[in-house]
Amino acid sequence: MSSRRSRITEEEINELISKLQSILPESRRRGTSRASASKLLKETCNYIKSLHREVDDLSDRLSDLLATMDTNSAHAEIVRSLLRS
Amino acid sequence: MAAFPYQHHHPLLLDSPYIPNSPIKLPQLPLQLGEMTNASPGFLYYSTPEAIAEASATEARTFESSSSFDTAIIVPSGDTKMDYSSSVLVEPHGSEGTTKVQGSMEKKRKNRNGTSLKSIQSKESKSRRQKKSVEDEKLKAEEVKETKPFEEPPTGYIHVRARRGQATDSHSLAERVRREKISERMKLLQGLVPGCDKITGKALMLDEIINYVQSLQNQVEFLSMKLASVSPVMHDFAVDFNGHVDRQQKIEGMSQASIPVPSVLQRNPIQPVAFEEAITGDCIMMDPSPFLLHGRGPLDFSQDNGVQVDNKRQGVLNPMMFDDMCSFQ
Repeated sequence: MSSRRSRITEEEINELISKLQSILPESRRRGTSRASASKLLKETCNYIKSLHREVDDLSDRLSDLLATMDTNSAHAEIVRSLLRS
Repeated sequence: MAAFPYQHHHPLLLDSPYIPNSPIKLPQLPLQLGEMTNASPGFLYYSTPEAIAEASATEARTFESSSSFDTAIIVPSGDTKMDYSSSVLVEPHGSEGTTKVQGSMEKKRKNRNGTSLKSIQSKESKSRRQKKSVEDEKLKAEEVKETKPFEEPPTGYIHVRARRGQATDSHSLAERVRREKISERMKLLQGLVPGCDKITGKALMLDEIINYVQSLQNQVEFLSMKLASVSPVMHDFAVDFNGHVDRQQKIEGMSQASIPVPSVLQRNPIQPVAFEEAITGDCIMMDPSPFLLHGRGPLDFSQDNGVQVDNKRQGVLNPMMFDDMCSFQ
């Protein structure tokens, strides 16, 4: 039997899972009964995808904004630097 | 021998109705006996000529994986959508749940002696396992649940087959199914989170995922703040940075991969405004943290500022530095 599991105890994993649960938006709302791990993972998946979309959306808007701004202004400079990163 | 209703049958483990629209990449065995890469007797499938004939009608997928598979997959006729079993039956009891296919499988299995039953890893990473318990020989033409539903997921039971040598009581089966679900989801996440390919082990992966989610959240927050601030906002606030420092520390501690600047913005809801001022003004000292936004000249913040300005931070940074500090990871 592999001793790997003992090094990383079940408890640590549970802890990580609760932590994950706490940062997911959904679970915060409904008081925190421990959801099943697989549901949590699935929600995490969806959440990450939605975050990706949001980041893309915001970046697009920023770049649009940049396009309409006077390119020499300080505004533009800052936005540009943001988008560069 | 078996009157197998050749339908797509995927007694896979599914938690929810999963109807893949794309051709199922399950190791479709039946047809190509000869093509089986794994010639081991572990393959059970309908080797009956009729099965083959029938199966050929459908998209015959050669069984690619080298693992032997023991469960026969009933190849559906032509156009049926692959309906991954929605019906997942935990079947400790075997018979009904496992369609006749299994019954026939069993037979075949018996024919080939000593077949080693191994679980099949489908491309979907669902594994099908051979039920260890002896199935009834009866080829139930029932096919009932598994095979029939093409479109709609039947019941919601989970089909599990125990591997040879594994416990077959309902608890372990259910447990195994659960574990499989979890590991499958973890794999999905692994694909989503960058840099997770090399990480093995649940705990490390979870840790990585948590960090990534947090950094994404920061990023979003940052970008939205930015957006809010860059859109013309005319306010005249005096921003008070006093006592925001500890929050700052906490945020800094979060993850180094996160964007430094948002921490600044987070500290104060009217930050964006301040930022706006900063932009229009010539010199700003936004933040008593190591992340300096901007500095063009002597600090000339709003008068009220309680910003602790370290001497080192008084250095003038030009906007370019900002770029360096902001590393979106």
